[in-house]
Amino acid sequence: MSDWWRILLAVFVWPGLLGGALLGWLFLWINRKLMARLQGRKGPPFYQPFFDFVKLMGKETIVAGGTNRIVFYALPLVALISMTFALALLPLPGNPLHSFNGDLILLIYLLEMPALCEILAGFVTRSLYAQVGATREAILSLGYNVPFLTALIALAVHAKSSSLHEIVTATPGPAAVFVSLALLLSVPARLKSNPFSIANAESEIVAGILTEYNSKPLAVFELVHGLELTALAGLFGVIFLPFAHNFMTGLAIYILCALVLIFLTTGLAAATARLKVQHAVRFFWSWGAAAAVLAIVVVVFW
Amino acid sequence: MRILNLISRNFGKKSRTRLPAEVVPCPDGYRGTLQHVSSLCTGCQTCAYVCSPSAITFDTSDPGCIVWQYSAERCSYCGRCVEYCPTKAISFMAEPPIVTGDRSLHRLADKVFYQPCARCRRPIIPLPVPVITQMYQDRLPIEIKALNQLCEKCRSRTASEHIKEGLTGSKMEVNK
Amino acid sequence: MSIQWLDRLLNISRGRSPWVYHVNSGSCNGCDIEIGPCFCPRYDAEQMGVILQGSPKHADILLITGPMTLRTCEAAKDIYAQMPKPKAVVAIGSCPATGNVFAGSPTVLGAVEPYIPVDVYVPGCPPRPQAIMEGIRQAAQLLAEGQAGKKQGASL
Repeated sequence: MSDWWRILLAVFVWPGLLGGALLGWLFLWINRKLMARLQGRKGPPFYQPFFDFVKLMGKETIVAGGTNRIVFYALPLVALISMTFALALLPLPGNPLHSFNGDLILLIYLLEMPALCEILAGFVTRSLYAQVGATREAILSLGYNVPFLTALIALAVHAKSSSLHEIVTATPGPAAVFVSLALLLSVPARLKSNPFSIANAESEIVAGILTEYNSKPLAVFELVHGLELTALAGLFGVIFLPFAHNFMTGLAIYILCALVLIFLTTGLAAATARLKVQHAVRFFWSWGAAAAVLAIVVVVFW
Repeated sequence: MRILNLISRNFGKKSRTRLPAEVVPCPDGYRGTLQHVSSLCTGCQTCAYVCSPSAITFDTSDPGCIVWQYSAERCSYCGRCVEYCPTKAISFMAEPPIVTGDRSLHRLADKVFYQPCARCRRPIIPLPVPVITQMYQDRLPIEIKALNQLCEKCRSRTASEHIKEGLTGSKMEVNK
Repeated sequence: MSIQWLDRLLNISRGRSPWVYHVNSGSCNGCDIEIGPCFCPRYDAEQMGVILQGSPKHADILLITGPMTLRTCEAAKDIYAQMPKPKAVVAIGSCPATGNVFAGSPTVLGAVEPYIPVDVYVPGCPPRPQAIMEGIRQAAQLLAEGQAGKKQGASL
């Protein structure tokens, strides 16, 4: 297959838009259903996130006055494009794209884009509630990026390469445990789930960052949230589990790992209340930084 | 750690959610939608007088009947009409009012027909028979049955005739 | 140009994912308290796909409680205008239908009907949570059939 076909297949089918969307909707449903069951409720049926997305695409878009229309419509598209390419870069089983040197750096950059787009989206709509949400998300990103970036850099140091393929096939050592701990600390904050859900604090700041967003742009942002769940589960899964040459085995391991991650995240979200942003940042700069330093030390000296 | 116990207990058991179709039956004495029995109604309009939001009104335009009108959308389900109705013509159904977009389904109307007085043919609503049997039970005197079909003026005329009879011992001529 | 299967998919999805926004336009809070249990474990409304949203721009169905008062008239009309089409309105309780005991007061404008077109009425003072969920279900069905807002001649 020529390179262009391979890129198109990776970006649009698997593990890009189509595969990521389907898996993302599955993981979103598991999250909501599990949260409902932990609260003693019944929860939505399995087709719920798909119908939510279709319904939002079918509504009319209302743009608040004074909003820059180009930026308003462009931000969710930029987030979607960067998330799709980030998914295409991940060395998931069956990914047609080949890994290249330095794609870890590109992955880190692409994974940052949705958060940046949401922060900008909070400011473009000129709503006070959205601005407060965007400010909180910006401050929180200063917190959770400390363990997140350090863990990924520690992985690169351990594998002595910045190519994702090399990282995945490197022999896992005890460093993997500490690095995964640091990554796990940052996952609830990236997903904006309790106790770090300060950015989309419902009914405290109306609806947070996406207060003035509606219909099609909102549908795209919700899709990006689902894709983010898939990408984080993929990052966690393929990096810390043994590389399987068989496609079905690798896929099964990936989905199992994603389920474990969702169970842990949802359990934590059901059991905790929301932390204020200063407490969350203090948590990340104390415990998160300690985990990050421990990971770097173990990788360098072990 | 009590929250972990709580959520693990929730996870282990089945959810306690009811499906939307499994409606919990209303308890006894539930103040649901009203029902009005026209054979027990005397048209005294006490319910309209005590109704707090004026949900019950009477339409007196028709010369042959008086119409009891009720709007379930205006009702506050307080129960004053049920409490004050002297003949228990109004009662609560043990089911809530229906949910619909068609507002005409929330308005009830019930006609109570006038009957002519046995003596002067003025339109009246006689005291309903079930109410009389409840008041007098087995001891229903014959005179009450005759008096029931008379209007107020004829009843007081009959009562004054009886008094005169008792005082003077003579039966008066019945003259209109 | 409309594709038939796409329209059908859109209609099905509108009925399966009714997102709700609640506004209190002068209620005594009795009906607002009864909306709460709709989202609690016993009468879980999420099994129908209902989410109580924080912003009217995210919602399809407006739950309005309380009569229309002088103070909230403009705010309620603004909130209704901010909801993207297609939208439906459910009037909960006797107050938004007629004003109940508050009609005639100098600060109460009475029924919400002349200001906001209503699709489903849920009478009661306050209505039971099952009745409120039945009202939301009927409004979702109206959205799925494309009949929401047609009563008052408002275009979809």
